[in-house]
Amino acid sequence: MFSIRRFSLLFTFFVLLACNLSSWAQDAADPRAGEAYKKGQTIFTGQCTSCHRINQKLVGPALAGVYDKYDKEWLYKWIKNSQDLIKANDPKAVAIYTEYNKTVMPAFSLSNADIDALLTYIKVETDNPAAAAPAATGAAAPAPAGGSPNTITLFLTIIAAVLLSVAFILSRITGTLGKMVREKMGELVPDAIPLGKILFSKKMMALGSLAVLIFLGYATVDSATKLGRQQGYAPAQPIKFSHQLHAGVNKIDCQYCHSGASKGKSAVIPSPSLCMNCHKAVNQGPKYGKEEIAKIYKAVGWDPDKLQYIPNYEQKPVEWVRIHNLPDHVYFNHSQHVKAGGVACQTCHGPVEEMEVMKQNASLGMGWCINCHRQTNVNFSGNEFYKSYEKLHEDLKSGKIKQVTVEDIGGLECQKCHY
Amino acid sequence: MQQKKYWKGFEELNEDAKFLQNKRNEFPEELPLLQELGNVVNENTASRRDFLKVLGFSVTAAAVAASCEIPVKRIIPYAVKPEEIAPSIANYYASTFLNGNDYCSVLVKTREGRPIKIEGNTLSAITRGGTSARAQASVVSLYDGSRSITPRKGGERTDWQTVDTEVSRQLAATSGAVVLLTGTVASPSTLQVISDFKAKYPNTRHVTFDAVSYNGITSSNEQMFGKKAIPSYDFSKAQVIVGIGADFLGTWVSPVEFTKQYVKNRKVSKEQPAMSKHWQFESLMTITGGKADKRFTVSPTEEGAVAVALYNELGGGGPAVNLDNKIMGAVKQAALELSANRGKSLVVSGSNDANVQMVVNAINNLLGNYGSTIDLGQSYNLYQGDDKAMAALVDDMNNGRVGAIIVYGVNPAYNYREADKFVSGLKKVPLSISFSDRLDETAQNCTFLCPDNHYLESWGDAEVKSGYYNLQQPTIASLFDTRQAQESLLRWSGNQAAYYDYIRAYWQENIFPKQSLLSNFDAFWDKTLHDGVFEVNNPGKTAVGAIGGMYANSAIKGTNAAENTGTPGGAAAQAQGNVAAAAQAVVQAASGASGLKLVVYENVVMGDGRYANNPFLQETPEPISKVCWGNYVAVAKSLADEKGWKEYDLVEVKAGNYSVQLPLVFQPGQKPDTLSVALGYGRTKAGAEQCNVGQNAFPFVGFNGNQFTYLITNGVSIEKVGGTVEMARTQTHHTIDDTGVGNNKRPLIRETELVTYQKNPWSGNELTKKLKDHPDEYFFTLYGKDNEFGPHTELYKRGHHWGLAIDLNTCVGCGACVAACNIENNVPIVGADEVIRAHEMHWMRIDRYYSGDMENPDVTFMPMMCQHCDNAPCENVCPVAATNHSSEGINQMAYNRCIGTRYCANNCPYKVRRFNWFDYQGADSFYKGTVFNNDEYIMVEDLTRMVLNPDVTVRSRGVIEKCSFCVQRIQEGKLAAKREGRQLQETDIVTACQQACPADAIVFGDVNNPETTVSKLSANERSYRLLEDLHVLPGVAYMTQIRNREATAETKEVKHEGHS
Repeated sequence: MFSIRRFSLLFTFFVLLACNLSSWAQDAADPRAGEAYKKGQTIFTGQCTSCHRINQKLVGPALAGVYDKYDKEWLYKWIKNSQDLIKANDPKAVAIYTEYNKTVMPAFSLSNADIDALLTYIKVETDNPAAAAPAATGAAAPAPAGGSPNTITLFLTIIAAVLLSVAFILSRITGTLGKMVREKMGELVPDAIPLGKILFSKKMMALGSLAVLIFLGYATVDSATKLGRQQGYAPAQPIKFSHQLHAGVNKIDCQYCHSGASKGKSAVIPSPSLCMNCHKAVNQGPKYGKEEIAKIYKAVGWDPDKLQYIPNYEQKPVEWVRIHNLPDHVYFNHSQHVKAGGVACQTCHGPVEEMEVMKQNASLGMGWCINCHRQTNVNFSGNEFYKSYEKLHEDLKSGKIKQVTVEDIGGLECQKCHY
Repeated sequence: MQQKKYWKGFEELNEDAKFLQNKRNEFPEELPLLQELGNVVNENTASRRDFLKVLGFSVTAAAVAASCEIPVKRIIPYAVKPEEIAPSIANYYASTFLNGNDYCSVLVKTREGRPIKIEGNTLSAITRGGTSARAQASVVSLYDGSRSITPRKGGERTDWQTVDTEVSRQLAATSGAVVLLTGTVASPSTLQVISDFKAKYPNTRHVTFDAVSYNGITSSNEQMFGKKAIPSYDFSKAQVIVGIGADFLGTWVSPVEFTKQYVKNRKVSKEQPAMSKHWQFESLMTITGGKADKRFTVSPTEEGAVAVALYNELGGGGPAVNLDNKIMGAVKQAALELSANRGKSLVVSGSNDANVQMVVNAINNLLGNYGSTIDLGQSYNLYQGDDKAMAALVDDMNNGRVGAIIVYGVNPAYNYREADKFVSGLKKVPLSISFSDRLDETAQNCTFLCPDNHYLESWGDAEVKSGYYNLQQPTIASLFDTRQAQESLLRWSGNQAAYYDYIRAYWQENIFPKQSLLSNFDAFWDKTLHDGVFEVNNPGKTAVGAIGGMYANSAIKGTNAAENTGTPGGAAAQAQGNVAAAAQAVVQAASGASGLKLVVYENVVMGDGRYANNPFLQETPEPISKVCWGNYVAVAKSLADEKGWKEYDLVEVKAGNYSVQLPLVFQPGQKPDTLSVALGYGRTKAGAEQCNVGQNAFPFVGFNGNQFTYLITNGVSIEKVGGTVEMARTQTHHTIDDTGVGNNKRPLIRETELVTYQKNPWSGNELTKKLKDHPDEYFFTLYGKDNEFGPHTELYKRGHHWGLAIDLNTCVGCGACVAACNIENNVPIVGADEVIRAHEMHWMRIDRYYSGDMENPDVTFMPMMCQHCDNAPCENVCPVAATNHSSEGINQMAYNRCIGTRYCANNCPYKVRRFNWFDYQGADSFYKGTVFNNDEYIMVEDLTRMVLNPDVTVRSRGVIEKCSFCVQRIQEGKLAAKREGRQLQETDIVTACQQACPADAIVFGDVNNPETTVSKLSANERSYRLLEDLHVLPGVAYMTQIRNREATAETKEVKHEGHS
């Protein structure tokens, strides 16, 4: 009996150990693991991809082999300020300049170390082309190493279950041992009431029913309240647009695309014609290559080879999947929050700049709205509009109140949002 | 003290038991829905088992519905976004509403490319931002499912190519005359298109037909001044106005413009303690008569006699007139006042008899009004219809002398007096083409239907008055395969140009040179397109001299007519002679008539029938009778009593060989010898079956050889046929219970006379004064005697507090606000049956009160909407707090919280809350295919739903709704100010009713800001709150009605006693 218990403990120990070991294991030979590579990657995707690819001509030349073609010192100068070299009539510089239609390569404020890292990145990518350009089917990126939140929860649950069963077994053992001891000492010990009998006693049944009822009631109300809410909703979109790349890496301002956010009710999903402002030049993405960007071209009728719009093309809008759905009886105005309130987009939409796939961050439930309205201060002295709230201004001055929240100026009233 | 009694209908006047009960209750009946449902479910057989079945089903259904996945919604941006369209931000485009002779310069509000609302254009010097109910509702007709979606040949669908080929071929081949039969064409470029067409087909004759003719005025001006047109009138310059059967605030010539002018002298305040004097002599009760200071009921045949009598009194020297002493006395008094205001007065007549109009012209001439209140130089290009030519055309058609006819903008098969004759003639014309937007009565009988665009889909221009140009621009692409009529004419003339290019070229050539401000045509065009109007400075001033000079110089010095004929020279002498002859004819006509007279007239909402398929207009109550969805025979109650008729009895009115069967409606203020029937009803092919209401009165219209006549004096008979027809009539729906303590009436309407007001600005409003001075004396209130808001005082005093001030003295009751409110706020249309049940959903109504003499009552219009009480009785009784008060003073209504107990409506003393008995607008997705017949509700169609305002929730069945003070506009205005970081200005927030009002009677704003107009108005001596003794503290202030007439004993008494 004891041996079985000992075995189970040992088993648990080994299982845990094995799990941990596997998560520590890593492939040390990956050329992409180096610090320099990562630094170079950041620089490249952030500052170079608008005009350059590793293996393809774009606005500027393909960069594969660039570290062999030119000496490092020249490259430092060129990248830092190409126009200086051209003005100095450097033959190599002038040759490139003329070859690429005298398109000016802007000056970059990068250190020599940065440029070294960049070159390392380009070299690694050149030497390992297969991984650099993912398959055209756009296979999913490999799952990140280490425990994702889900696996951690799973482990914790298993551990908890094991510990609970250990505790249960131990308590049974001590109970049995105690009984044996007392019996040995000659005490009259009543038989333990079987667990089953306890569980199915009337009191327990009543208690259980009550608990079930409370649970069901709670669940019903809770799910009814959540009906139609879709926090965390992250549907697949017709174009695998990455906010992480655009807003995070490239640091494009949110309102460059969502231009309505400061003007009106709707933040506006940009039309593909707006995408073309950049994607006339950028025809390949770092992750999905040309495939996803080609979908924009298909929508607006752009010929990426001839670099011109196809005449008489029947343009087709992109049918995005709507993520943030408010019920029809709710009036929400972006400009009220973004422009008048000065609320950052991330306050409601979460860390969009980290989202590869866009997802709904907040519940968008009324309680969530109300909470924010209770806690958020109004720019009371900064905006002339609030001048007419004389009484509140007096109170602020006299120190009677410390701040004016949205609630104080009627931000919780029904017809602020429902009309 | 005997209080003046105000009443809305005879049931109220006579204190009918049923009426009194309804007045006490909010709802006229107990759950009529149950009865209806009972028929379906057959409630008697429902047992416990049925209950369980239903319960089980609902639980399962709810579970299924709840466990369904949330449907995936798409969000689809434009492939290429047009620069000017930003989702959720409204664009406004200046345009022109010109339908027949109805004109308004407008701004069209579009959302995401859909026109959804019409607003008045303040840049127009004619309408100055005012609108009419017809203009407001016109946006609905864009989304009319009865429009023809393709061209048709012989009623069958075809394409434009076929039409163009065949029409061009047939037009070229035709040997007979080609007739272009149009309504009044006030568009200069369209006239050019027509002349191009004439050049291509030289045998073309252009005939203009107006169903409601103003030939009387135009031909009188032709005879006297050589100009066949209606001059422009300026009521704002007139200190004394005499209207003789002219409903110039409702229908006559240019009502929106005249209302704007008229109210300028009717806004009484301490700063301007004067107002114009308005005399009205009329046989029917009109809103103009209702606003008159002195109104007199005359027989329709006597209207001409009144003009002659006035002419005589002013020294015109016409034949003697036999009139009632009372009327004669009034005429004398009016004449005295007129002559004291030479050049500052105006006499107008609604008669279509040229003789009467000549006498009226002579009167205005005697008063020196030409050149000041009347300007012949700036004449209207409206009402160009030629009655004689139309009659001749119909004869020609029947005689086979017409080879082809193109009908544009008119529907003579319905509204020509001899429609049958027109139709039989039409059938004899080998090629007949209609430009109607639907298969209407005329188009049914035409070979081709070439559907014209709606005006919101069209380019166009208009010169409504000489020198006042308007541009019309499309605000949406054609919804259907329709084509602008002008473009069709251009095609058939062999011109392939788009009408846009054509109109631009026309403007560049003809209108651009009329100004010197801009040297570049593109800039001029863009500016005009932006403004919607281009007004030439001082147009036609020389013309005034030339035409007016001839006659206006013959200023009458003495009272002897003979003396005058000598002075002005030959032409004027002849004119004077014509007047004498005309006056003679008028007097003769008046004396010859006895017995019953029948007047057929255009009413304020429906016009000549062209709006019949517009449910918003059908449900806008006629301002005086408050009847909607149909016409009726209006008679004086004394006549009915004499004959033993009851209201709504079905009667047959016969004149000549035409008769109609319509219900009777008693009309206070109608001459007892007069029957009247509104035109514009009884369409048969208007579109939706529900809109073909009433009976057609056009066949009653007569023809005197020169003009159509709308007064029938010969052989008029009326007979009861048995049975009654209940009318959808809102006048006593939602009657405010004015019974106070001890059966004292609370004064809902407060009025005074100008003379009394000048002595005491509080006159008529003594109660408010008393309450203000002695706030402790509230005698009947649930809310404490404190004049403050109790615990909320501080809350309500910070920030904004919204209020409305309504001037009863300037409100003319036209109903533009009602139509505007309905469209702005997605108020559903419920149909005639539901209106009869008092289920109309209008958030805003205009209560029309009569008072005084039953034969000739005073009329007061009181726009009524949610009063947004600060101590609102409705809020306290809601079990779910669905209605509550905002810190800005708005009585809020959260529809999604409302569970439909209707306690609030029951507790509202103003009866302004409306309950959705049905899902009128199809908001509920479970609605279709349920026990209710969808077709009943006109708003359910997807096409019609396109007009809905996306900023306002569409309410579903089972919730209460009411006026929100246009909270969406308040929020929008505040937000605009916040975004720009500035304080709110008065112009930022304009409610829909205020925007639409041609009388500027409604002012909205922040009452916490002492600088706003609304706070000044609501604090002045004329302002009072309705049922203020209840201390519910309404947010709407009404200003007393003031009549410019002698003080009565009554008001003198009230002045001293106040409320008792």
